[in-house]
Amino acid sequence: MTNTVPGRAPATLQTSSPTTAVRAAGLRKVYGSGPTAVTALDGVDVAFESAQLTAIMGPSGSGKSTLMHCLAGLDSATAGQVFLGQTELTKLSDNDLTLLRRERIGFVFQSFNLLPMFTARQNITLPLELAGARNLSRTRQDWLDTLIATLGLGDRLEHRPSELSGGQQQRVAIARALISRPEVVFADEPTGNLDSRSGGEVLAFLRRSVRELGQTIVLVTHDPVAASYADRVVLLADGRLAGEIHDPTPESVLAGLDALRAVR
Amino acid sequence: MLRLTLTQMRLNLGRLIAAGVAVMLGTAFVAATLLADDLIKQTMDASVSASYRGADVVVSNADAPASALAAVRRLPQVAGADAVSQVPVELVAGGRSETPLVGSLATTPELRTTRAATGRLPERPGEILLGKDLTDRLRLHVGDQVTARTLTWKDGAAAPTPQETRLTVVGLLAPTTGFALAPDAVATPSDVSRLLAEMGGRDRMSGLVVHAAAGVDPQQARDAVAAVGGWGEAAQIRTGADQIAADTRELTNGVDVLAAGLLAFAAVALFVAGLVITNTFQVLVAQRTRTLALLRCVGATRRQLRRGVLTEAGLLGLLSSLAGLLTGYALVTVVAQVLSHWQDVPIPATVRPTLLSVLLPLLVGLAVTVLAALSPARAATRVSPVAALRPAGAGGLRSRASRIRLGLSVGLLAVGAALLVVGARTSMDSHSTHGLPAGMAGGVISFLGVLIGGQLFIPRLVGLVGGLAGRFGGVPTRLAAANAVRNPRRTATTSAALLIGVTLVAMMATGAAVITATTDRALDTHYPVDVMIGDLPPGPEAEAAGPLTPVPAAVPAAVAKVPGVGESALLSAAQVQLSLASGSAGSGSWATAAAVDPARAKATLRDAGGLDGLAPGVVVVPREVARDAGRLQDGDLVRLTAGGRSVTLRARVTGLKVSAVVVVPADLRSVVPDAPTTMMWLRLTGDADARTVLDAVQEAMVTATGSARSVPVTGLAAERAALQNGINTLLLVVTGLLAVAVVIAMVGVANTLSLSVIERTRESAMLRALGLTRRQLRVTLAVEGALIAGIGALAGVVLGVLYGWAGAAAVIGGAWRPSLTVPAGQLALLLAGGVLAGLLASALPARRAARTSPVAALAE
Repeated sequence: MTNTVPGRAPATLQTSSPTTAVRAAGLRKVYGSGPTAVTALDGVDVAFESAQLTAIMGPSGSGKSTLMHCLAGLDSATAGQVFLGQTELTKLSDNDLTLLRRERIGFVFQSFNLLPMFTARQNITLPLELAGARNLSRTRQDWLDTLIATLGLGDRLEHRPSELSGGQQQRVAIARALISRPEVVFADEPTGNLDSRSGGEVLAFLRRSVRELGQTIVLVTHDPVAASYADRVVLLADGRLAGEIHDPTPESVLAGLDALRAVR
Repeated sequence: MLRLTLTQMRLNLGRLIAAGVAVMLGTAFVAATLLADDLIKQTMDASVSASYRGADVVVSNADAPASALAAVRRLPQVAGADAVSQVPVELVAGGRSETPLVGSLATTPELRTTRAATGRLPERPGEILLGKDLTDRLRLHVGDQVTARTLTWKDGAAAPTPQETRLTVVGLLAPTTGFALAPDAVATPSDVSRLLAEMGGRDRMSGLVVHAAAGVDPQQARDAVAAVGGWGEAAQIRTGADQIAADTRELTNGVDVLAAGLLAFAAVALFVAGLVITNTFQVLVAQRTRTLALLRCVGATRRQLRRGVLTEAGLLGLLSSLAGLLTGYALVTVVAQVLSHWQDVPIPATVRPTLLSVLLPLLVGLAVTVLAALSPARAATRVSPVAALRPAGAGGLRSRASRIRLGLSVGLLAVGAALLVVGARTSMDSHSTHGLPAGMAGGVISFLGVLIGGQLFIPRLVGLVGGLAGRFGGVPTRLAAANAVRNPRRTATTSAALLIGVTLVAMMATGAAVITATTDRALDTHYPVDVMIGDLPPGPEAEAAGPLTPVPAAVPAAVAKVPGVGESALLSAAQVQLSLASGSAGSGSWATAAAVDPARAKATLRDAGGLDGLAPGVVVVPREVARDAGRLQDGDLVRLTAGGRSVTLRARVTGLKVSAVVVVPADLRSVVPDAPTTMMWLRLTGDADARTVLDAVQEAMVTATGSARSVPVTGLAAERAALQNGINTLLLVVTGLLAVAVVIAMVGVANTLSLSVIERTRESAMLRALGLTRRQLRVTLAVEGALIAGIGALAGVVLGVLYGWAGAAAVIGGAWRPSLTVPAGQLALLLAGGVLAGLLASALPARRAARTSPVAALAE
């Protein structure tokens, strides 16, 4: 376990290694203008490695959701660059961004966001159909079967979201995020609406998909227990990078957060 | 509470404006109808007053000797008096002929209602003032000569003697009245009474206008005129004011019926607007569930919540009705302005609204809005305080399809359908329109059943069609299909709003198509020949009338070349004696025998049924001729004799509508070798304008023969076209009126879609995050709109056809067997219009949805 003292980010993070999945350089995001302008991100340089579960943590208003939105191409940056692999997102048009999200990025939301009128299976395959796939190819079908088995959804596929528990709904959402084998999955407070047991299950699934399926996952949370499932925790405060924790435990994360408050 | 209501209204301003537009359109319809009614009545009053200008006493419907005029003029209470007479006179100029009503110019200056637009009034016999229309038709100018032709029947004469009078056109008649019956031409009283006398008119008069002497009360003058006596039993002697009131009343009766009809359409529009309002408030209440619950938590009573919703509806209703009233007023003013610039229609350019036509639209608009909001207001009171504490989310507003609803709907449908069938059957069996009331009741009852059952069958239809479309379309289509049935009640109400308008338009179109197709057949029988050149064969006593006028040799070729003339047939004719072959030679009656080639006749006539069986050796005898000839039966052998020759033919008695027997040319030649061509039949091509072709034919004949008219031209095609034009115009007007209801329904579709957009903001954001492009999102909403509107239109078209058939059967079934046709082109257009309306209605909401950034929506 290595702890970095909260403060300036270490220099190693500023260059992208061959295994970097997503990277931000000098990322700034300002909402509004003039005297009412709010700086949500103030020059963030950060990289997320492939096949790792990285958690972004920070107190409310630290800019962690904004960072995720910018990294995922949901929101535009005021300044700086975002790279997904070799693609610079900050240069893309809305339409290209949409296609990029469809093909290369997956999402898991706090409130599941399943379509109530579709069955679990239809919800899972939605991203493929959005991309225009009429029938599932052999490999896609195998992948779907793997996901269903891994997430334990076998007997719930023909149910609608209203007939599923919260944990089951979130597992369906995870399957939906993974179905197109995206380069990176962003999970925004995925356990926020779940009890601790279901939350633990969901986090375990996320970690398994990293370990066993080689998936890259970026997790945004304010829960130290959730963050402890990650390989690495990136700490954010006042729109700036405030340190990182490798191989975190709930205790080390809490300590890191406390240190943040102490610095402020 | 009021402050809260106002704040909420401000927050939902866009939504309320959309709903308000629906009410505004309906109210504008009512207001425009009432204001137009005011305007027409004021115009009529002015117009009638103008036609009785200066008249203190009016005698109408009289049957009095012409000498009574002199008696009235001698009365001390009378300053001047003039007979009112109008006579139809044939005017001929340059080979063209018109038969206008010629009126006499009042000799008393105060009683003159005519003015000369150019030139002057006729001052002495031999002068005439013509309307603009007439001078155009006859191609005359001021100063030209025109010939008045009359036919005088002398006692004992077999044929009338034509008389001709040369008249000089001294001026153009200024258009005066828009509604009162006005003469087309004006001449001096002496000319008019002489023309009347030539035409066999007895020396009597039917009407009189009187200008009272200065200081004499009109009532006294009236009594004095009445005291002259001898006016006849039916005569009505009134003061000028009374006469104006009576005439106006008579004229406005028709207007009141028209206004009532228009108000019925307005009621449809308002009903549809009511549906849109109900929908809007339902969703507003659903959207505000948390707020309402919070209010209940802090102590608001149910009654306060209900009052809040109703206050909101009341304010909305009042404001939109006011806007509707102003729109209606503006509309009528603009139309009046346009019409008043059109010189033939003397309409005042400003409308003076009556109190009723201001208050009624306001009250109706307000009432409809508040009534429509009643059920949503009740829903607001049912919100429990706990709802405020639950997390916000898509609440299940799904209503279970109630058995009561289904039962009621099926019951109403069954009763209504039975009444419709009974109505149609009654009319057809009793050869009358007695089935109409039953049919109308059936229509209303069954349509009520459709509307009540709509909540059950419309979502199912939408689901079915959406499912089919989804199988072939992409994700957007499947999403749209699923979304469209998520709130079945709202979808049903939205669809129903469009269904009403489309049903009525489709019904009118189908009804008109059936009536046109049916009357077309009837018209073909009644008017088999489009245009006839030459004289009708005279009746049985024609022997004395001498030879028939032949058609000049140059005419057929010249006429056949006229554009718009299609097939033609030539008829030759001669007088023959008709007798039974078994009777003695030389006996029997005189008749005209016409000869025509059967094939040419079939090609030219619209209905050649009367000539069925015409062949060599056969004589077609019209039923009436057969009766006159005495005991002539179908199948009898008949002898045609003329100038010592004769031929024996087999009689074929048919319902042919002429007073001549018909044979083939060869058979006629064997009796009368040199029978002249006396008539030519023309059939116009389908797209030709009858009036234009008729004028061109007359023109061609004038050119070909080089002289004024020699043979008459009769154009039944013009009457036929006029009848069809009447039906088509009516259809166009009715469709235009109902289009208002369709437009309102479109507002409803747009409203429903934008509500869907708001409700599904998070969902749309999620889909956008998952990779739904802006375009795909827009397509999703467009398909949803097209589905909801398309199903409403589809159901409306199907229902409209059924109602159109039933209605047409009840209306005309008594007279003719209705041809159940479907105006496929119009209906397809209507359906396409419905789908397009849905697409258009989705445009704004879709724009809004597509513009929302996924982040903003997810953050909510």
